[in-house]
Amino acid sequence: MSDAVARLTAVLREADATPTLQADAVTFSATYDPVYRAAVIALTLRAAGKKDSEAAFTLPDLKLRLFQFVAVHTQLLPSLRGWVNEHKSGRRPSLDGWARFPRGYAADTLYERLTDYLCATGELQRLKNSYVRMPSAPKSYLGTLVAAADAEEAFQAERAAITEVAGLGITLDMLRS
Amino acid sequence: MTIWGTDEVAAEVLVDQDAMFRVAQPVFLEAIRAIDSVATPPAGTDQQKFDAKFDYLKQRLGIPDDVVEPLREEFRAAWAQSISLNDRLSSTIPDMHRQFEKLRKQAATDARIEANKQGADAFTVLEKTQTGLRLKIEAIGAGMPLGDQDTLARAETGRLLGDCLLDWRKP
Repeated sequence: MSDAVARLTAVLREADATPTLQADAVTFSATYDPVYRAAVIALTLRAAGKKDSEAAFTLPDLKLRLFQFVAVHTQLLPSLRGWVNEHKSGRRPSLDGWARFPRGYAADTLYERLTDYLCATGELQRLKNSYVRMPSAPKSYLGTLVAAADAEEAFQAERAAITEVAGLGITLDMLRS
Repeated sequence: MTIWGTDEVAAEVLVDQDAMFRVAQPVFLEAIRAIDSVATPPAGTDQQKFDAKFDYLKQRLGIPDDVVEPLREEFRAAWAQSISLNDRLSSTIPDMHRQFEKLRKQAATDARIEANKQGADAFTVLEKTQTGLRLKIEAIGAGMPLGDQDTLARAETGRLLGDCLLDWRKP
């Protein structure tokens, strides 16, 4: 590749096409972008949560944590399917201790910090039974993010992953084991 | 099976910087080595702008196919490898991944400053970026085998092209 870099440089020089680099536009991976993650959390609650009579969506914190993590890391879906199948065959492997599940799940501090922040600002509510609730508020920050994502048809891979994970039949017992 | 005692380990095993890195960062090395076989970005990745840069070389600047196409595919593979590597690192060792993400920006900034200096050859910005990345990687990955450092620098250069931060088209 260093050879490829030298070849490309020579081609550009010959054609007098000056390469430019937008260094100020180099950004952190979206995985650590709180706005992106907030949108994924809101999409997860909407797609996998239970809608109540006030049109709010509610999901157990343990499920939300896992679903949004897999939505952001869609390459984990095959491993997660395997874990669910092991459970269904009666082996009951734990999620945190499961060797094939990445350690990043345990170290995903952004989820905790972000949900704490969103709860503090009233965007989300933590219920006494360890459920997270997203009130129906189209003009709220999360409501605006979801509307923008819908309008742009953004995060298709994440949405597909959330739908699939929600349909795997993961129970709280499985997550607590 | 042979079981070694301390004397055998001391006599047979070379504990150098590479070995220490392998012990400290097995997941990092595993992730780097797993991307070698990746050649195309995941389905759904928008490759239009990436391809437009290479089409520009052919259509607007008249560079022949047999020069442009191999470059296009080599850089596409490098970009695909960087996507795969970032997926793996962010889901397994996010702390190390964050450090790695920081050094990308520093390396790109350094390369641009170098390329913009008076009298500097602007055409070498690609090479400066690759060299800069290599030096930064060396700084956080002391002991990382040289081949793996090259793989990382190569993937990240591909990512700059794929993310459209490196360009040569004129409006």
